[in-house]
Amino acid sequence: MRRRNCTIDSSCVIALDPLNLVPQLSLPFSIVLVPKAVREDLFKRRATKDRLQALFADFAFFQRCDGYEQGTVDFLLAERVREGTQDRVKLKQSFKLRNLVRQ
Amino acid sequence: MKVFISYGSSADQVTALRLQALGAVNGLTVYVPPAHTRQAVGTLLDPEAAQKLNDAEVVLGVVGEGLTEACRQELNTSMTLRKNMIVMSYPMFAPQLQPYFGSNLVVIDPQNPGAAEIGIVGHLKTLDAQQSTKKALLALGTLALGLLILSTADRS
Repeated sequence: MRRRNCTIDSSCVIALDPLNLVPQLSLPFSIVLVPKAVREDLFKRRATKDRLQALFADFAFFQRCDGYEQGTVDFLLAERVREGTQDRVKLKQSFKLRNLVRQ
Repeated sequence: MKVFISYGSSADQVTALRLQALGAVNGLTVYVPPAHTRQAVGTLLDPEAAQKLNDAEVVLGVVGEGLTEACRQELNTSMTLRKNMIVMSYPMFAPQLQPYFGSNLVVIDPQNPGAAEIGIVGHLKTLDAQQSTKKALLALGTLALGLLILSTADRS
């Protein structure tokens, strides 16, 4: 069995936990990393905060992830940043068009 | 059938959870103690774990990465309760476990997994238990052997 690690996002935790399917993540993955932003998101509500803390206490393969290699993050997000910039340009153009139509 | 899986350390819990999932699809009710029981330094057995241990018909010990006090207590309690059990362990923990678990202990040699399988079958022959109990122990022991060997191969 290949040792596989993964990261998880808020929606997966919210969906899998009520179905008691979090322990089953141990079949495909040896470690499930929960990034800081995901923890902050789930900590906003008392119910999800309590559940996440219980998951950390119950399952050793469910681990906090606080360290990132910035170079890899920049590389992986490069496409999104580019698309985000384009989206903003398109948004500005559409605002200008709308304003022109109103005038 | 109710099964209790006692694992050596937090790092062994993933093997126990995999066995739980594989056991569940084959109709076994498998209990795996939560990870926090392996981090506590207390000497008392977790009340929920003690209850589940009492209810279990079969106990499987999985000691691959480490041996904690909680695991030692769970295995000792199952010996006291005369549960049908097998303890699967890597050779490095065998000296600590052998004096307490004797014939219940199956030592895994990754270079020679056949010996562990022979050890499981040999131990089952000496057990005075129902056929279904022996089948469950054989299946879980073999699966644990496979998972522990593959995890070692993966690390190396």
